[in-house]
Amino acid sequence: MAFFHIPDVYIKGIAACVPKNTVLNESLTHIFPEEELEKVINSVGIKERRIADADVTASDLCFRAAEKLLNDLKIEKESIDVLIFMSQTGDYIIPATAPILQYRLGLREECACFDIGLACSGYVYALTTAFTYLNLPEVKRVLLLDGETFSKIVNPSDKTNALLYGDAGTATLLERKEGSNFYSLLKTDGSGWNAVYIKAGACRNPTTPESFLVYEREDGSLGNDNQVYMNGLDVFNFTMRVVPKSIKEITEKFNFELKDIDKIVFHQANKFMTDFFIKKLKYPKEKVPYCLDRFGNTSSASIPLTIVSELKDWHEERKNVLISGFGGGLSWGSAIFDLKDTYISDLIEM
Amino acid sequence: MNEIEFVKNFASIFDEIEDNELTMDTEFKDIDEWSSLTALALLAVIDEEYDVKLTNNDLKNSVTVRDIYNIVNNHK
Repeated sequence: MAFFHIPDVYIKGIAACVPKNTVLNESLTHIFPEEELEKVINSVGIKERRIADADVTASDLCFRAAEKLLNDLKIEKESIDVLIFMSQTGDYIIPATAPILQYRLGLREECACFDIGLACSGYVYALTTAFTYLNLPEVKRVLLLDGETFSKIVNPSDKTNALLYGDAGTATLLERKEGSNFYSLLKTDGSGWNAVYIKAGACRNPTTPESFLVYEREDGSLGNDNQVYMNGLDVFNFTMRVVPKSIKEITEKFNFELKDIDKIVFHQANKFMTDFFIKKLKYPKEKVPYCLDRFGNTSSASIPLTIVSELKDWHEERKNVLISGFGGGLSWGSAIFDLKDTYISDLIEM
Repeated sequence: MNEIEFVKNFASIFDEIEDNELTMDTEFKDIDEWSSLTALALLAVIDEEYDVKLTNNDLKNSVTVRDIYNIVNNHK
């Protein structure tokens, strides 16, 4: 079963934290000739990105976002029953990062803490997992921390990836609420597992001195085997096939029409790509918020970051939001929920 | 499938190439403007116009506009 309907739950609040340090894409003249650089920036739609300092990790950014959210909402830390950390750039290989965050945040021992590791579809998956826990009678509050620092795993001269990724950390607090529904659709095509990947550094190909040698990949991009590789064309081929279709599938399954959806928040991958989806769906582009011009592609953190940076001042009676995440795995998911009673913190920097 | 239409659609991904500068025999990877971005644009235009999803391998194995035309034709 790939469709999920979880009744009587909602997002109580969302917060996000980005690094202060801004990198302008127009400065990347060592990778692209000037004329080409301008074209690439316009097409991809990313002007600048936030990059974490060497000693700042995704969990640090998430920690700040969580503190902000819990303070804003005056939530007692003892009341958190489950803490989920969603990231592919955790602090260590062992242990999971969620226990470290539990300790730093001062959550109680009776709190289930674990990590989820997925690429750009991660927020939709983790949100569905988090809401599923709220179905258990003992669980009243779940804190989902989703953050990434892809700047640490991208070769700065990689033509495909260097101008895409930014860093961010987010916090989402979930509770029960009668009459409020969460719907999602989660899908996977593992045959494309190597379309976005880091070859070395885990158990299949352990780190060796050779894995740090930089070489030119098949597509002309530069990187070593401990850095991320993306087959851009295959990823685009995949997203074209699945993203508009999955949006149709979830709306049809749960009896929504696209006109019932007040905003579509896409994973902030690449504006060329998401503009193409909007056109295919014939969905009004003014209802599709973007923050990638200022923050880049922050992988799975990009959906909650967009909600915080673009939807804080959105005032409507009804706020039906459809979110759509897609990427490495290959993995994709969509979800529909109402943001009307959700508190959104001011975006913070560290 | 109309060849003239196809060439016109193909040419639309380039800013600096007019429709009449492109033929079925053009070796498109030799065009200055050909890049990973124009490749994405080609995938998008072929999907929109012919409902065919080109893969990385399709592009790798193609040299001329006609090669792409044949792939699209075989998918239809």
